[in-house]
Amino acid sequence: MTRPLPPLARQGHFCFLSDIPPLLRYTKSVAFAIHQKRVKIPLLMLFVGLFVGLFFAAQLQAEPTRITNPALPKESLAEMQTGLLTEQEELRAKQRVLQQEISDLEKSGKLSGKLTASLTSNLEAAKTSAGLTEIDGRGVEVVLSDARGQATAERLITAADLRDVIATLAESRPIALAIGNERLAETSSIDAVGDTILVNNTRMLPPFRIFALGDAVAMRGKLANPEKLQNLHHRQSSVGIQFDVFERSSLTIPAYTGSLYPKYLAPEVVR
Amino acid sequence: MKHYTAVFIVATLLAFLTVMQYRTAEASRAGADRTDAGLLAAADAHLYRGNRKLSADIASLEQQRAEMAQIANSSGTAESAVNTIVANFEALSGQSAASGPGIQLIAYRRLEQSELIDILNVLRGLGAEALAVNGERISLTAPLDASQFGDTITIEAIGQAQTLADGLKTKGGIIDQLRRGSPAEPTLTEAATLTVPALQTIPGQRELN
Repeated sequence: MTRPLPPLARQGHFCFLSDIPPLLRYTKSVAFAIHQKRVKIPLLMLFVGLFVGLFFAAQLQAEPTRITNPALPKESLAEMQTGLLTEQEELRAKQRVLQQEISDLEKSGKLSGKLTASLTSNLEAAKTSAGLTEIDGRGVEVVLSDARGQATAERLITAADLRDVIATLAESRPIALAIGNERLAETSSIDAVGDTILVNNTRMLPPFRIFALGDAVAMRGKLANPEKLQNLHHRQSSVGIQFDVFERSSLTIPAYTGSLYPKYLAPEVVR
Repeated sequence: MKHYTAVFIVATLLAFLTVMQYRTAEASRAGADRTDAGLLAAADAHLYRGNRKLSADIASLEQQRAEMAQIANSSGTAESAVNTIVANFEALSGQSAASGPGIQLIAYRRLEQSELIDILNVLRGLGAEALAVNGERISLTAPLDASQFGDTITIEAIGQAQTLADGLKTKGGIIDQLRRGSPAEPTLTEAATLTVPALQTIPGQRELN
């Protein structure tokens, strides 16, 4: 609201001395009014624009009223994993007990009394070749572990790395293989779910120790060959993953603890 | 008027983009959580299946124990039963030929060493009890050279045929991988009976103490 003009100025008269202050005040108030009008509208447009922009953005990413893709929270899944791992331990313990009972039955007087010496020998040899007995001998130990520092694809040891090492060791026809405490039988698999490595469906953590019974010199030579396991050798020098091979004069490879009772396979010949 | 319109448009855009940026940042944080949750869920599913397999193994072992106890307590000889057990172990370890239901997978291109290793691993994970490539028995303790098998590779696996086939046909799985760079569609057949030979060479016994 502008101040009214001084009386004489309204009439178009200008009184030099006494009218100056009111004139000045009038000019100031008019200028202020004009300024206010010039600022008010843009400010108004600014706030309206911001509001409209917020409104559109909110509408665009509005959450539906119903959950369309419910997923268990991470905590529940982690708890479930703990429960499953506990169950796995209990099942494996039960498996070991049963294997031991079967072994004890085989060696017991009741059964062995019914078996000839050659039959007993055949049974032991068949169990050994299948991986159902603990076995000692010379061989190599291969240690693989993640590189230090921030976890990246290059720095982590993967299930594929373990499979490649096993395949390289196999070129020297080892007698027995194991990863950690898990004996590898012909039905064993080395898998991964995310960063978790599973051998015989048992979770493995680094450092991964691979044991191979057999010609230690030949196996060590294959593993050291830069043309084999190129990716592992490259990552060993570039990012520092651990890839060490040790010759061992005495290794003990544990027995396979799973069941080797074939469900689908039938031997072609039974003596 | 133009000036006011420009202010309005700029303000609208500014607010919109600010909120979008904030929500995108929130979504990628939540996305990382969902990815972790997704991996956890997959790991749990794998563990669950593994535990079910362990339970089935335990049932087999219990059956085996019961049979052995029966043999031990029977008045007759155990020769026949033990011979069957020996034959089963020899067939599983590759010391003798074996037969049974399963699948035959034919790939019409050369396979890299890592590809062949991975395919065989997948089949073992799906419960394959014996494997052969181009008629040659495969063992974890025998050399495997993918380059020797040529442009047509036939992989045979004895096991539960449907489980093996379904596992190979998983989206993004083995069949999809074999299609890449292949002149022909890979062939997957379920068979009522397959026969795989014995290993050509049995692992040596030289290093035993």
